[in-house]
Amino acid sequence: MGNFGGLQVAYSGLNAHHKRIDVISENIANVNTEGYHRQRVELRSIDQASVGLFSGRVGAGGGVDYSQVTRLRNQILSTAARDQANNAATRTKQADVLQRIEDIVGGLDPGGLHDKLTALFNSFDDLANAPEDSAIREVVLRQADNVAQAFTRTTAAIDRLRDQEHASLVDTVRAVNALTEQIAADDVALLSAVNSDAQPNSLLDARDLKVAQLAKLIDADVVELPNGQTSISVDGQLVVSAGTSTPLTVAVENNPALAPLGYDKIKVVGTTGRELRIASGEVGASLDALANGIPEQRRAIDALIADLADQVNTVHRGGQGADGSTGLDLFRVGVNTGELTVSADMLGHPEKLAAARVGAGVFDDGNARALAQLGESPTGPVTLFSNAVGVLAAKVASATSVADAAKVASEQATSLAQSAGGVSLDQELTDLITAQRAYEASARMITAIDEMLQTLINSTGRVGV
Amino acid sequence: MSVRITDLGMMESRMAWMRQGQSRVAAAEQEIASGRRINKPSDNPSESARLMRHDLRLQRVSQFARNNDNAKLWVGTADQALQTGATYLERARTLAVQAGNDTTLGAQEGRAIAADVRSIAQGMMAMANTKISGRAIFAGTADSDGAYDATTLAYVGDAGQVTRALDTDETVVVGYHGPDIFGDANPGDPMNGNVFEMLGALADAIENGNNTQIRAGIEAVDTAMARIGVVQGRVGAASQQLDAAETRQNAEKLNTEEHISKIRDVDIADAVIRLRSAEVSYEATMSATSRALSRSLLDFIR
Repeated sequence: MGNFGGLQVAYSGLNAHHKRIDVISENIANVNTEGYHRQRVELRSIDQASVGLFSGRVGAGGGVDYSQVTRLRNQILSTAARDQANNAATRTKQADVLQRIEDIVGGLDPGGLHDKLTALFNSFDDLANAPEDSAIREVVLRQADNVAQAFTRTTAAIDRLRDQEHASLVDTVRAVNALTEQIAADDVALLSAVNSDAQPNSLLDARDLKVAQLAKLIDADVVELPNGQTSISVDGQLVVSAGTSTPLTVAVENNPALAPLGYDKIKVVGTTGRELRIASGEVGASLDALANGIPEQRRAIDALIADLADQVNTVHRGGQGADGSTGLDLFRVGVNTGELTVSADMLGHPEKLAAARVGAGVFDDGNARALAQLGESPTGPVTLFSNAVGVLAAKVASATSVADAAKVASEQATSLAQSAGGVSLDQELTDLITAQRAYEASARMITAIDEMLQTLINSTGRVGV
Repeated sequence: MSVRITDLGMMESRMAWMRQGQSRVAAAEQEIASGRRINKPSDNPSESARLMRHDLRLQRVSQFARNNDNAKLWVGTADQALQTGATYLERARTLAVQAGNDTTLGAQEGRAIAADVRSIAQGMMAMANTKISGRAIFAGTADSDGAYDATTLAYVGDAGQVTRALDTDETVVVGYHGPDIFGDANPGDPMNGNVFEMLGALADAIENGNNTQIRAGIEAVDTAMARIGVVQGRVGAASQQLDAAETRQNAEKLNTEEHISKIRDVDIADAVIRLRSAEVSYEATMSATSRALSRSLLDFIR
């Protein structure tokens, strides 16, 4: 090493610590930036031998290398956080759909279906008490109409929920497409940055943030390629590959199992039109709700409607109206429409309400009593309704607690990932002190060498002069 | 693995804690404000199922209580009518005995007594056609203007029985069948026919001074009184049944309401304590957060 070699070493120290201070200030500036991963200058001593052709004494170093700035991101923890976020989004969406169905069906709300059903069966008792009273007959018909309308409203509300869910699926898939497009654009920029040997850490942060957002929406398989780009596929369909994105679309298809409800099958398809099986993320949860959750509840309500109409009609047909009419239905169930109405025979004809048994007196109350007794029957419409509410409530409660647990798990996974890659001000400040001191020391080295050289140049041969 | 504490991570976890604390406070507040522990079935599925069962039962018992009120009206009206009938028959008997015993009775006086008996027969007819909101209570389940036709003296009701439900499997008879009270018609032998035919025949006998017929009439009045007595006994039993049912219904209503309240309603003292403890822990989280977040090495280095 020559006389000026020390200056070179000190200079590299100055630069290295200056760079550290730069990176620390970048970290501090981004302390609250979502998706930012802290960076660190990797310092490496340079072997003298490796510096130049004229290597001098082996042993003393050639300064410090500071060209490598790493992004502290724990791949495993980040992937785990992404998976947990995906799970939490799925569970939350599932619970959300069930809660909305619960709100529609009700059960405990005053004036809800349960109350209306009870009021109807009680009104049959009032009819039994006064079959001669046309005002009471009117009331019974009105109660029946209330029940019919409430059931019809419930199925209509479930149908509406399904339409909303369909629309929200389309929106979510649109958001997925927007994200994959941005990720692909980021990948293109990344590749050119990598090719020009730059360190595109902030680009990587931005892209990884979008990948994490994508994970909440859809279960995507993310592969990080050695060149920094990603390859993302959904059920085998590539959506991001080599800097290009492929949009997904929502398609509607006729389905024999759903057709009786007036529903279509909703699916997400890729380029070839192949249906993609998407099990999780908001898209997966939406698809599941559209294919299973919502139709299941619609069928449950339809079954309640059919049971109510069947049980009441069977008894009603066996009775006799005040005008002698027999064999009439009180309720009519719409075919596949989830609609319940008071039958056209009965509408506006309270005298046709079959309070009497066939062959008994006009004011006999036996049949009205039999109708009223359906109210408390353990297999009667009211009990069937509360059973259905109970089943739904158990589902909602378990879905909600699963969603809560998934949220906590996701928060924990995120905070673990954050603990690897996040910025700690205390740590940065400590680093700042060491970098500052090292910088000062390097500067001091230059002064020392300068003084040394001064001695050498100005005082050589003047010993003792 | 040792966890690095980072500023963003710390802020996020504190925010999650505060959100949790806040939602606990909100839940406790909602409980107190609504007065209910269970607002939606999913708040507690098994308790909600019980709640709905109890609620259905409560509604049904309330309906049975309404049936009971209606039954009381019928039984009370029937009781009053029968009481009136018994009084009429008592009076008819007195008149018949007077006419039969008094050998000095002239035709004029005989006609006056007979007129009295006929008006009693009319009173009986009005009583037999007693109505509740337009429906004859002694006509069974028939849609007829009354139980008896005032001219033909024939029963125009039917043999149907009018009952009221007092519970799921308990009924009470509230409508009594005309012939049970007034006897069967017998146009060929009016003295042994129903009350109205019999009273007519008795009046004729008094008018004609036919002592044999008057004596037969007195016996027939006794039979008629006994018949009413039997029905009065049944009415009394029904009335007792109604009172017993009312007591039971009220007790069940109270019990069921209490059950419902226990399941559904908030124990205010308990809820207030839970609200306070939720508030305390929320405030503690906030104060700890404000201290932790405001501290950094910056406070200590120069």
